[in-house]
Amino acid sequence: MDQLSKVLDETGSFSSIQQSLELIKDVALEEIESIVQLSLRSQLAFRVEVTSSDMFLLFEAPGNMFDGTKMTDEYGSDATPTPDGLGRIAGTTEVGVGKNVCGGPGESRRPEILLKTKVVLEKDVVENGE
Amino acid sequence: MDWISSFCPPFKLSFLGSSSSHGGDESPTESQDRLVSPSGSSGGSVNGTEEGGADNVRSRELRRLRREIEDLKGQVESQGAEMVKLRGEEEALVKECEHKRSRVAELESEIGQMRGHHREDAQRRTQHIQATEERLRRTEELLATRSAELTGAQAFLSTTDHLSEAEVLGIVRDLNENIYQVAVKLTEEWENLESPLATSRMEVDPASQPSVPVPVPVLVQLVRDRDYTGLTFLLQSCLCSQVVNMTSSWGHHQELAALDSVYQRISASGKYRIVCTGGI
Repeated sequence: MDQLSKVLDETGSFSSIQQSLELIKDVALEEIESIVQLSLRSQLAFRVEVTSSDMFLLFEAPGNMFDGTKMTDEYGSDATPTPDGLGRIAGTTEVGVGKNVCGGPGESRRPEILLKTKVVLEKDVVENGE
Repeated sequence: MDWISSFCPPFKLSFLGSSSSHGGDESPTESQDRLVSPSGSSGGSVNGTEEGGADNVRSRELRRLRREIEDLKGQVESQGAEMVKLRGEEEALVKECEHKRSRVAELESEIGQMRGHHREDAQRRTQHIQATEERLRRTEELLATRSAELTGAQAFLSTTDHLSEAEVLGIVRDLNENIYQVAVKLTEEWENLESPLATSRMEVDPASQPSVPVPVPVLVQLVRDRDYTGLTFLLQSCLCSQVVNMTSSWGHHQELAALDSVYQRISASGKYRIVCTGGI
């Protein structure tokens, strides 16, 4: 919740972080608790309950270039990278899931995408490509 | 000629004398007369009629004896020929016997060689079987040791996944849904705060460094420009980042961060991973 309050503080609508924190508690406390519980549940599943492969969550850092093999675009637009940077990622809106798969004898492990990360691109949120 | 003399001993001397004196001065008739009358009396008879009758008897006897001699000669010749034939057969049989003896000797030699080969082969097979049994014994011992170790290790290992991929993906989709709900709710609440009725608006210095946990300059700029959609995306991005950190780390304490590097080394095997996780 501290991180969310810092985000809300960027809006300039709150006199203090404490005020934004109280807003978060009032509005989304139940959902945040669910997020924490589901995160711990995911950790248990990845670390303990699934042993046949190494599974992990996927997150794309802002500024990376769009890759259709492991991401989907929030707006579903053409995400072909261009020289002016419109194919760059502005942020991640949904986490994905991947796992490491063992290859044949002598081959290294390679990642396999089970659920693509959903991202929003800079060109979709910045007017006129700015 | 011993067989001839043994065959007809009474006529031995006269027959030999006749054969050996062939072409001599004495005629066969005279010789035969002496044989019939060895005393040497040649007809000094008293009575001519009696002498004539006796001559006839002697002549008939002589002719009979001559026929017998001729028969005996024929028998001797045929038996001689038969003897020659039998001797030829005997020689052939002797040769055949010698040939069979040599053949038997060859076969015995071959049998001896084969017996030797079989003995060597049986000895090699026996050694091979002994070596194989020894290897089998060592392998069984190794297998028993490994089985015991595996049985001990299996007590700590899970061989099957407790969750399917679909169940894991379901958890992550719920996670994304909750993230979206939080972002949307907070954005809507912020919109209400930004309404004309709201009075507590603060000015943000555009040049100040954002304090959000994820470096998302584009979205921060949108938020500072009062873009509702930008706030939703920024909240989602921050929540996603936090969730990934929470899921991939061992805990929130600084000391536990070192475990991440250790985990990366042992995570190649899910078996070792579950042992480590269970221990913690």
